[in-house]
Amino acid sequence: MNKTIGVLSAALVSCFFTTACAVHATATVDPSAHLDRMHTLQVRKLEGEDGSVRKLIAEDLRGRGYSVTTDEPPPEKLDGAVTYVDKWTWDMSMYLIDLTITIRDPQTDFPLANGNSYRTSLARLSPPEMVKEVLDNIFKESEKQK
Amino acid sequence: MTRRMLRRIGVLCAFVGIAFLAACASPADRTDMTPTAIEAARKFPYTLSVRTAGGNETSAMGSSEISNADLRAAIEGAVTRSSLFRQVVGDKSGDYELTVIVIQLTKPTFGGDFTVDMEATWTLLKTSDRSVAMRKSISSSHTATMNDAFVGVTRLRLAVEGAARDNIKSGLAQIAALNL
Repeated sequence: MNKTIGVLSAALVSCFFTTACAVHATATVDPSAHLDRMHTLQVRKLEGEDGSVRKLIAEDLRGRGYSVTTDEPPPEKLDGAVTYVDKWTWDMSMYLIDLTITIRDPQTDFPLANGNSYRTSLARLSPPEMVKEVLDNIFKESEKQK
Repeated sequence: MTRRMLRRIGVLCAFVGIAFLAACASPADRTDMTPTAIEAARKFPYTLSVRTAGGNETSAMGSSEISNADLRAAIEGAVTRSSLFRQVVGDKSGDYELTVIVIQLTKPTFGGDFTVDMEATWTLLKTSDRSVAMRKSISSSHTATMNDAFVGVTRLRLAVEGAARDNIKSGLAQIAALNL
């Protein structure tokens, strides 16, 4: 009986860990996009968001050598507009579970590059690390297309 | 607990597990994503190669997704059926290269009618000089109701397939309007 309870408990615990350890990170870059030729980017604020993720994205892009503005309206000479969608959830504390960053043509809003990171509770990263992961994947994918 | 009771619990758990797996998600089907009624206004005398990205594999415990391979097969099938291009070829050896990237696939998690919204970018490049013949972002939407399927997982898959099918139809219509 103890052996049966032990096996059932192990199965239950493993099911719990399996569903709570999902990690998924992707990036796509349009073949007509030239991210290496961009210099000035604007990070647009998400409606209803406090702007904290926007600040992190802007800081990360500045660290990569881009001139980044968060001002509205954007400057006249703009190479790309960055939008994002962040999803937060609670598990012992609030954490960022899903982050999608899109670099768009500023005139047409056409998505030139898109990156996503999805991490459940046990695989969570801090918001700056998630931003870095998404942007790293976007720029790596852009390098591949050269 | 007696051994008999534990055995019954084990059998019950096995049945619950089987029922759970039977109700799990299946990927969007390539045939069902291929539009059937396509009338190409033009028939270009060029070959086309197709590349897809942004799709995802479906896990049993997740919801229906569109895989890159299935989306590519659906687009190639639609192009072949409509004779929009002379021939669909593999790799990047066509006169034109079509890249379709799934940017967003928004799916509901609960409800009666399921509406799925899809955004995909369609970029058509001339292979010889890499000039852009077309670059468009195409959005589509499809609703599957309880009349289409009673089981939620199936209803969601039908909505995903419908959104993809409409997206492909729109994308090919945009290409057919070009002067290549």
